[in-house]
Amino acid sequence: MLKDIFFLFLKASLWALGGGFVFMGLIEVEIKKKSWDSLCDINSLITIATSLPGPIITNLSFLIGKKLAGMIGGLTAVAGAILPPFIIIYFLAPFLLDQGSSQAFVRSFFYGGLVGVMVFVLLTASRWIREAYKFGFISFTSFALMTILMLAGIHPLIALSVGFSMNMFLKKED
Amino acid sequence: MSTLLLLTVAFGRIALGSFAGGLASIALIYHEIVIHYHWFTDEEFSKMISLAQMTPGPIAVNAATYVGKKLGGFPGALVASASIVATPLILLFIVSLAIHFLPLREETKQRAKLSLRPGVAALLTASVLRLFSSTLERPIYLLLVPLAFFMLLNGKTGKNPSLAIVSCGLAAAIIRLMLQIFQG
Repeated sequence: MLKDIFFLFLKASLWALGGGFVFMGLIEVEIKKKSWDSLCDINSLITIATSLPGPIITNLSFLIGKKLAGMIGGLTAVAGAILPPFIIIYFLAPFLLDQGSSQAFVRSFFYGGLVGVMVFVLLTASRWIREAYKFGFISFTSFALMTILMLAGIHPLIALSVGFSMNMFLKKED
Repeated sequence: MSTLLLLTVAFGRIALGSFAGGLASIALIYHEIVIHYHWFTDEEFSKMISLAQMTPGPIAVNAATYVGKKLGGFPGALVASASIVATPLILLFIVSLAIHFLPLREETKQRAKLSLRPGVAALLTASVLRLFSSTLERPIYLLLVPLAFFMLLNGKTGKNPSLAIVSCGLAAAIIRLMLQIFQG
């Protein structure tokens, strides 16, 4: 069982290039294939994993592993999910980022990629900003204030607490 | 404080603020490793984020592995990655204990969840502006913006953002190589 859990999460992690949401889909299919869906209610675990802070992939892996085989199962699932990215970055990143950067075209590769990341984050941000705007005056004001605080170099956790309190305690029920 | 302890604290804080997936963590990673601890320069940070979005795995875990290794070798990479993974789970444990002893109304829980959402918008906006100001150091790269938009908004290639990001990187690298060849 533990071996199966380990390799299931290892495989899903390797394939989930698109991030947390792709991973969720892959895991759901794999769990159903193994008929483990009778042992754990995936949808409720996804709800918990996405409302927690931190990477969705590792949160979800732990919760499913724990449901299937207790604490050891949870740790095994996380180990499986984290091993591919850990090994890839541990061995590849210093080679590409540190040694490779003496080559101009390698630097260009990363600077070009950064523009792609920037536009990707911009598109995601625009959806969230629109939602904050639709949610009313306090919601949008808190968003603007938090952004300014973060850019001013205040720790994002402090900015988040300020914004959270504004929405939690100042906002009137509609 | 020892490096390992500092790595644990820094990446624990990054994990605590990263709501709604990896992209929001960019602003937190920038704050901890560039502004707060000065472990990385803006340029090193940019290259790392670019690579992290091209490889599998959560961006915060990728950053933890690379920053951890640079500062503290294998133990550093291990401790920083473990901190990213364990901190949210410890929080879950504490919150479930708290709710057990101090039951909250369903409305209050729902309200708390909604109250976090504008924060995600703020984290993402701060992340975009950080990446934009890094790119402004090399404004010529802004010519790739239309390519990025095209690939990300296209129905087929938009499903896999890594593909758009790698394509932008390859386009930049190829143009640079060609320039090198023509200029001798």
